[in-house]
Amino acid sequence: MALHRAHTEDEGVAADGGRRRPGSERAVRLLIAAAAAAVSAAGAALVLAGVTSPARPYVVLVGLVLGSGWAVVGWLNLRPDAAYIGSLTLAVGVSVPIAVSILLVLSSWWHPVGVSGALLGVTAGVNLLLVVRHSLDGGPRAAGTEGAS
Amino acid sequence: MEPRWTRRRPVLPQLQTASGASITDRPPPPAVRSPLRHLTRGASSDPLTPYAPLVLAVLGVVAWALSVGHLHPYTAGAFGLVTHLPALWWVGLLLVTGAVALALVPATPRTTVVIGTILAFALVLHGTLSAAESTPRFEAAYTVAGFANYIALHGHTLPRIDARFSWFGMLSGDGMASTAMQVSTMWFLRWAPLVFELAYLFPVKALANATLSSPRARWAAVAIFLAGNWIDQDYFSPQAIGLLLYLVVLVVAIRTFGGRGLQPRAMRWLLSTRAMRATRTGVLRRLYLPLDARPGEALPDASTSRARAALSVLLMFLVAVLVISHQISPVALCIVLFFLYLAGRTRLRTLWVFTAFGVWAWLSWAAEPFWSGHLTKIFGSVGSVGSTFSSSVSGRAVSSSFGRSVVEFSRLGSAGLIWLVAGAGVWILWRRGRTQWNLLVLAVAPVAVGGAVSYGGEVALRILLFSMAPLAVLAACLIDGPYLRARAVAVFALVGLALVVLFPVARFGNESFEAIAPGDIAATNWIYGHVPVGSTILVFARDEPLLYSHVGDYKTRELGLVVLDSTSTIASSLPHRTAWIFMTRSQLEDGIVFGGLPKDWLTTFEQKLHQMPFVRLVDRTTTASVYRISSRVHPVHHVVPPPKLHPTRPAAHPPKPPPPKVDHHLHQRLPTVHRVQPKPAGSGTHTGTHSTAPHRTTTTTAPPGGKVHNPPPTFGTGGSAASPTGTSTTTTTTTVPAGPPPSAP
Repeated sequence: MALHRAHTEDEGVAADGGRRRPGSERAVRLLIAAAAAAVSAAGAALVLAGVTSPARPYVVLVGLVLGSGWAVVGWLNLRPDAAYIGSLTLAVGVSVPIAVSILLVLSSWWHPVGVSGALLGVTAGVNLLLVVRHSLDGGPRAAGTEGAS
Repeated sequence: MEPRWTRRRPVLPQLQTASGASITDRPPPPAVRSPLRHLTRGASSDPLTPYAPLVLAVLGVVAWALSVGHLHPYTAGAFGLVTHLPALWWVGLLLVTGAVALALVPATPRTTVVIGTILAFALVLHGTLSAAESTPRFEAAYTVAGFANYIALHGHTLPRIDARFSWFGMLSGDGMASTAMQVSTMWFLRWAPLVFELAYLFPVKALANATLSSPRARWAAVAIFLAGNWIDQDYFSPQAIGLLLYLVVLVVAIRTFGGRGLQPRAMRWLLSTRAMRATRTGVLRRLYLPLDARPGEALPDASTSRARAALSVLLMFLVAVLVISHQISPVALCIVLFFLYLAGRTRLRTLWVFTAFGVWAWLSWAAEPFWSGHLTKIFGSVGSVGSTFSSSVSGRAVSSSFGRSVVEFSRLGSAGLIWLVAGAGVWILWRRGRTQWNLLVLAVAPVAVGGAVSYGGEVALRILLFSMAPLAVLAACLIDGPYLRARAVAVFALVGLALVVLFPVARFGNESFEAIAPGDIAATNWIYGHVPVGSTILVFARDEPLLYSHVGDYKTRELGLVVLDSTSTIASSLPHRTAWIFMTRSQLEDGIVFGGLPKDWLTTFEQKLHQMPFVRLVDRTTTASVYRISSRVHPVHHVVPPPKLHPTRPAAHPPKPPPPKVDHHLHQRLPTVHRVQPKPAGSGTHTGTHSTAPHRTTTTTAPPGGKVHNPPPTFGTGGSAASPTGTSTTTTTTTVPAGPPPSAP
């Protein structure tokens, strides 16, 4: 699995000081971003259009967790360890909807359906940006630019 | 992959034992010649052989799936479900355990194979209850779902009703998600334990990756975590999500922001004093540990300053969500982060301050209803670690029944075993010249939670929960390193097997009273449909799903041991105004297991109730019964106004009450429940057995006055008519198919 491949000390370093991601790792990141964007967009469409479907709970849940999680973690230049990135994605993906709902309760403006749809739409857009970025310039520079201090 | 630190330090340092001899002078012991080594050696010649563990795992899952249908969780006794597990279930467990062991034979296990086997292992261990029980288990999970349902319907909390509403982060998130998903908040409950266990595996594996050097040991840590985590705090709850956030924050803190042991200046000074140095040397010599062992953890991840800054903000965000979602998890996180800072294991030197401030700020501002007037209760046992542990550990071991004692001792044994093997893992690794201070701090620091908060008898469980992930990784230290020692492998295998064998006893041991039967939910729905809002409902113990909806509508009172008293004593202790009694199978088992009551206490109690003219059985399902206590207050001397349901409503022309907000998805997944004929009041002795006629018709009459909820759609049809006097009478006719002879009560 590409994401699980750890950096080694002698991995090639680009001339500008950054380290190019291997193609397979970039492909995996691109795939995850595309999947997150697709699921989030589908979830947003289901929620905002009020579609009742047996698939709706699963699509919306995956969209909320994976979509919002990857929309944040996907921009970080983390060491390519699937467990590490996955745990951070899960934690952020769970926390973002919780934080949004906390704001709704504290502001006494409880509109869970509309806000969930909007959140899914935003995460779909952010993930789409990630897809574009990975596709165009080969993705963000990998970790290691400044080294560990 | 060769671990980074071995490349940096190819030659082991000269390590000294207490006698002064250098232990690196000894040649390394021969690698273990596993009887299963042909599986790894034959990988190139036979492409299918490496996938043998996967085949075993599939066979195990098939056996498990076939066996689950034969489980009867609602008849579990003091031993829990373990005595009811069919032989096929054990075969399934044996097969998946063997599959995991086989997958871990190669030094670098195949990722797909080991993931497949671990998924099967998790399914058999943590998915059994979810698969076997047709309705979600555990009363606390229903309460969480009820709280979330309330927020989903109303958009605000009820902190005066229940203190847990003050930490509503997870509840509001659940409410928002369930509304957007168009499901009930109970939708999450059934498979939540398995999902959470799988989610925890990510940070556990990340922790193992950051601390252990061999891929085999890293995966073994994951398996040990699954087998050792019997703690049953993975139901859909704030603490389940809290544990995930807790672990992730700590993994990031020691991995991306890991320190290399540079303690704060005061700590360095303290450690450099002659007394401390002498103590350290003495302790290490007594433990036969080398004096100059080096850090065994991996180097902190290389990352850009921008990435570190972003991660810092992200960690603060996670901490903030954790602070608003759960009471004890952020306290534990604060303590562990503080000790990591003291030990110089993280560069996040102020995150513990931020966490402490967050806990204090939230407690002061939003959780004021929780602490005002209860300060003694909250801080009463602060600092008294000993008494807290004695009440939660030794107090639990003393049980009234043999079965319960077996369950409790198996839990203590499992916990003790994992602590023991974790200690052995640290010791062996240290003997080889590698320390594991990160894991030690993560495992031991949560013990301080016992002295920092007042959490009753459960605090030891919570501490074990916080320590479980690092303990599992420490246990895997036994088989970490470039070569294996036969004794270490044997010990690790035996401990792993013992944990697997103890798991069903420890994890399924509470099933007699924690399983919520469909009949319990049907009776609860009857209460929602017929009992007026504001009524008092008497229960024996809180092992019932009364709060899964309609939170705040009813007052609940526990009867306690009054149920054993004579009829006249019970009658005098019952309320004089209209009230209700709700008894379930789970409460019956609770009384037997924890109260030491006789096995027929509920039948006897119900017989006494039948002798009281003012108590009438109004609903009975296969596992629950509802009684109505009529008002005995004299109408002349005590003018009691009817329950105020819709204030300022004129009595002469009562308008139709607005339809209450009813979660229409709530009852979609509830199974068919066999409802039985309630016996008329005063009909003599009640044996607790029921008629098995092909079809029964039950007619119940709701009490006059008060708001009556819509009856749940899953059973019963009926109509409601408002009388001119403002009272309403509801007649519910229920036709149910014949069912098997019901169990107790």
